Amino acid sequence: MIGAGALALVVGLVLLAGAALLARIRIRLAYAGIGFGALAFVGAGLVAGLTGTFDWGGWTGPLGESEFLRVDALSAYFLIVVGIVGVAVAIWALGDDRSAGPGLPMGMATLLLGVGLLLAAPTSLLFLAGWEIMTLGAFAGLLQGSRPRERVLPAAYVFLGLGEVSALGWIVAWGALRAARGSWLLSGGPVPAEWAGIIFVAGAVAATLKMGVLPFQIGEWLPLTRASAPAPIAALVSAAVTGVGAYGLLRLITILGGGPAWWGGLLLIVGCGSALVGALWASVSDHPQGLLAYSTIENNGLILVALGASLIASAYGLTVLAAVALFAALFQVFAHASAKAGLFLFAGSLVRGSETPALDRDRFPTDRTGRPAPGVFLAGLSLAAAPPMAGFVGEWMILEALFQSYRIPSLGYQILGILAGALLALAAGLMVVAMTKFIGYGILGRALPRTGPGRPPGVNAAILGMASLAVALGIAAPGILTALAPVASLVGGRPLSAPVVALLGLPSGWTIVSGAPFGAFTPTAIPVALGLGALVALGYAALGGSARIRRAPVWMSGSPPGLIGEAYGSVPFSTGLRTMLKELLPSAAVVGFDETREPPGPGIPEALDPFERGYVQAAEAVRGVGQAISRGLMVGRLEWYVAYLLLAVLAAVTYVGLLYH
Amino acid sequence: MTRAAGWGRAFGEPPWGADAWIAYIAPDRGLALVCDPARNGTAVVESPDAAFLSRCSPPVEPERPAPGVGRDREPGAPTAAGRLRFPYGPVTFGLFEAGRIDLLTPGERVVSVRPQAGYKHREIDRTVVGWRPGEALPWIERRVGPFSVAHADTFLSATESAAGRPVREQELWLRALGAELQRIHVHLGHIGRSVEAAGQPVATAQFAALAEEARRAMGRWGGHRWLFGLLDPNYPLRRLERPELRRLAEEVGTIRRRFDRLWELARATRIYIDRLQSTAVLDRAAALALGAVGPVARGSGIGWDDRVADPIPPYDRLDLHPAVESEGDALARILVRVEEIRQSAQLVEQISDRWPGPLGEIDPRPAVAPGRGWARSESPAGDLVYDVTLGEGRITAINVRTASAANWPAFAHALRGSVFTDFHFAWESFGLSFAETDG
Amino acid sequence: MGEPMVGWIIQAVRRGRLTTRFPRAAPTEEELPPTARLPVLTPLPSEASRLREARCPTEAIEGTMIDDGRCLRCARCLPPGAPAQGPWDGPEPRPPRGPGSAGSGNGPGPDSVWAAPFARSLHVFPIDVGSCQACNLEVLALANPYYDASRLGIFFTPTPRHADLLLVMGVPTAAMEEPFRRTLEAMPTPKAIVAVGACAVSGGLFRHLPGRWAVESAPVPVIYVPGCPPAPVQILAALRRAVGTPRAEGERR
Repeated sequence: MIGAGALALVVGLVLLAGAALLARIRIRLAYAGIGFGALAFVGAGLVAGLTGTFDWGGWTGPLGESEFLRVDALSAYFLIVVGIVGVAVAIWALGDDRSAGPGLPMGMATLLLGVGLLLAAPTSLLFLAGWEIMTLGAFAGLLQGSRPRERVLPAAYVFLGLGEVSALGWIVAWGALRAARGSWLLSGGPVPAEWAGIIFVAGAVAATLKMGVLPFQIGEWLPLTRASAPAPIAALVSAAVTGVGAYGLLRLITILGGGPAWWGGLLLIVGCGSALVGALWASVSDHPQGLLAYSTIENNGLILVALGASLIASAYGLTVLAAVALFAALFQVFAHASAKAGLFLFAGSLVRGSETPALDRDRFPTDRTGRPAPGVFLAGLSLAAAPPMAGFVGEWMILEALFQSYRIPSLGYQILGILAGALLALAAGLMVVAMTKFIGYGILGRALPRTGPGRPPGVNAAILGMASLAVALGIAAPGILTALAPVASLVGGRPLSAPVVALLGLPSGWTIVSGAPFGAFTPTAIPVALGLGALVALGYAALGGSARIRRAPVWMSGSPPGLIGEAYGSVPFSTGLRTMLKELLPSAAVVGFDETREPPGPGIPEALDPFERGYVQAAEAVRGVGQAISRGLMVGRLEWYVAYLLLAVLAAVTYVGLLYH
Repeated sequence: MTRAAGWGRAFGEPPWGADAWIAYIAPDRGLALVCDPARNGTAVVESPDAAFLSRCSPPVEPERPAPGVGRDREPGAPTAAGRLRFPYGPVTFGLFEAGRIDLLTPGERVVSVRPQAGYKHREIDRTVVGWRPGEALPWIERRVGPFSVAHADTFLSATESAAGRPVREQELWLRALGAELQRIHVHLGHIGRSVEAAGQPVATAQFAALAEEARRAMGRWGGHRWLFGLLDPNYPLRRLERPELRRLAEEVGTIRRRFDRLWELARATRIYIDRLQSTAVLDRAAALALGAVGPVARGSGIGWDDRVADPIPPYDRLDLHPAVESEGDALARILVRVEEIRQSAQLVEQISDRWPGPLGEIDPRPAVAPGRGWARSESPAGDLVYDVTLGEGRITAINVRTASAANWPAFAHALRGSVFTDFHFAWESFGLSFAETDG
Repeated sequence: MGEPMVGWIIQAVRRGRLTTRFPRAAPTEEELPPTARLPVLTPLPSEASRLREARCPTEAIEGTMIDDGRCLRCARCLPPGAPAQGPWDGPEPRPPRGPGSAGSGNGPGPDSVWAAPFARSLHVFPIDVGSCQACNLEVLALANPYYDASRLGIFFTPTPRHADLLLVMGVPTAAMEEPFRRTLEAMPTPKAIVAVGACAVSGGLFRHLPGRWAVESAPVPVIYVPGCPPAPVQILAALRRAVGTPRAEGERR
């Protein structure tokens, strides 16, 4: 008998598979299938959240397991997150009348199918299968990029290549797990300590590769900028796939049941490095999707820092601190996914069809910015960590957790925590710059024509919906945290309650605390306070004198306002930062951009990742080795091939003989 | 490099040396003036031919600002991605004059500079046609107030040359005295405003007080704070008696001592010197090629000073050495101005001491053509040339090549590569005037 | 060598107080050079009078009457050695002669421009529309220690958006008419114009330029400060008059 949750999950998977297959025939039907499939994911997650872990199976599989799908609290949470993103993306795609060919829904459906499989995988093999399917789906979607084929293909291949490397990491991790436990099941008993290190490192590498953190940023920004990925794929890759990376890490921690503090230290270092790098590049980026990709890197860095702090704290037995950090990481995943998906869906229309997209230049001349504007504004504010948005809650909790580094008995980790906190604060400041730039040049500044078709309602709905979600998550954050308690308990390995209390006369569960005691804050009160303030202001304006408003043209030192063709664009906006920090930025962000050369140099370059050179060299090395081997082995003479055959037969016979001896 | 306006550089072909340059070419090609540092004086080329002009590098075309409408409608070339063209002017508090400078920038550095003059074109040259020189003097003086004596002096010398009319030596001494006083005043103003740009309020106030004292000295002695009317022979308010001159010399001496003290302090103010050093560098080759004159050229190592190279009384009797610096940055130009303040103060004292009583007359420069004369002098901004044609005692044609017009290309070249905040240091060290450019 | 901050302070203290006591005391002769005063003309026989009229570069003389707005105070109408003796601070500033000006209601109203005095906080935006720079520097001189307009509550702003008064210097050239109008439009109400110098008041030597009516035809009250250029105390007196501050001892004529 199949339970409601399992039914929902299976229906979702089937719908997605069907959408992938149908895409060639009926595109809109495929999008609808994707949307409903994602909705089914959400349903399955909610059921699991309400009624507890469920599984589906009941027969003995080829590997001896008895379950086919298994959804516990952690999987349920991520099913909800990914599902919501999937629904939004599907609505956007349905509304967008300029969507690409059948490759796009096929890619999207495959991606979501893979995600569903890996989230509900009880065995590591299904996990791997899901991971691979997800990567392939994303690859197929990335191929639909609007740039010429010769630019899209290499970028998509980079993504695919890194995806395979991460799969390799999982293979190592799960292989070690199998060796340690003797079973392919993910859940089970504790892991012997000597295997835990390998499992963690391999798995962390695999997971963080997908998250695009240091030193793997290239996997995140390259496909989105160079390939100019279509908006739905960009949203899915940034919001869902990187979330899945976080899921992988969390699943690892759950399986391993916590670990030594150095795991947390590693995550902390990688996380704050990525946060800083991502924020810095975002603030000087002028590519709409590039800026958002760097922002994703920064957010994932935040999540890593939170997880790292949680691991360190639990290694030293500071349970309250560990809980706060863990809840922060979990919450941040949802906060980031919602806001980022909304912004990517907006940015997609900014880059469409343009060779060198720039924030301030490319607009559809007939689009009214109109309706999505408040959504872009709010989602951008959320990423800039402005209260009462979700991004602020997550950031606040993470920083507060780091503030309490003094509680850690070890001096080294204390210093590490303080440093990480300082760097995160710097990154947060830079993100404000980046988001100001995005919001300002995305929706403000230029007066778009007031007539014109405007965006389709589906597009608007998707963007506004995700933005509203980001706001709602922030305002209802205490409640969300309470709902996350079972997830955190699962990951933390012991019953945890959300860090919400009754304070300052507010009812219980409305105030978030960050320590025992340390800091407290309630995001729910902010909209109330803002509303009251607005009422007071409006009342004063209604009662008080009339304001005479006279519109005057822009003051341009007496010159006519329309004289200068270019307004203060997005590149000059960041030139101060670029000049000040040019030692920290990759040289191509400031070079190739010769400020004193006339006639002026080429258009705005996308920043070159300093690691890209390393990757290129590594890839060249691998290719060289492969070619050398192939040249060495494939000599093209029949005798050699016969010799290979003979060797293979000999090896097989020896192996079988040894086995049965 | 943009084209020079009204002059260029002559190659080292005989009879001129390698560093010779053309100071002026009349729009009607009736007259060219060549300067050669190797020999003093100005060589006059009457009716320069095509061969002469073709030897000039860059090609010589007088580029006058368009009279009347000042480039408001000019669309400008489209900028590359990431740059903006920022119009500085024509109404700004920083320039404090009506003129526009278009700066092309990617945000911090100035990539190119396009000055747009013509906003202050008051048609002076057209208005004075038909007047007698004495009657035209009020307009000539008010082309640019701070340099009024230099302009009036050069104009009168040009008319005297055109008319073949000798001038009393005392008049020449008077002109020199007024010119030196105004030179002190102008340089004090520029140094004071450059200190203000460096954010030194106490120093700014002190230098501004000195400039005010200079103005008051001029007002007390010459009857007008800006010495308008000084060179009009019938001006009732000027005081040429010895006691007045002595008092003037004392006041100027006081100003000089106070200035020495202030400059000693300013030179030790690291913030201020830092802002000036290596700002808006104009190297010697560029200065020569672009035809820079005055303190700008002397700051870049070109030691030409009209008062020394082409001396007329009383400069032939006073000791004067051009103040030359070689670095070519804003600091060099400010240092040149500092030295010139000191020298001008000394000259004022010397002129007052040796003031000649009523003396004989000095013959003017020979006319170029019947009724056509020219004159040059060293205005506070640099070399100034007037070319006047008289007919029946009235002006029939007048051409002016001002120092500010000459220095614009050098300014545009030097400012490239600077950051925005360095603009005012470049501006004050160059000492350009839109009023003088437009006229 | 260290920063000479102490040196600057000592230097400033050593100079002592330089600021004029105007408007509490009358301006001294130093502050009012001879050319700040309007000439007073003695009656002459008709031929001599006609010659005298012809000597005036701006045609400001009619018999023994001088048009305050056009007079450059160049003293060409005076006998040699005779100083001008007229008032340095005119009575109600008369609008200049010329078509379309006087009586059109654009002249200044009663003594003050605004009902409530801006005595302690007057923000002035100076605009050069075509001057010779002499008026510019005299206006800037209001900031030097000798005059120090800020002690009277008069401040310069670098942008017209924050300005109460527009200080116009020079005769509006054709090219500057449009920027002048834009500047005026960029100022918030209430606003007024102070025309500094003969060029701004009447066109002065440049009366032939078509833009010369731009100042008076502006739809805001205008205060005129004649002179070429007016002395800083005259500009200061006009600014105080513009905002209707009660006359101090030094401002009574």
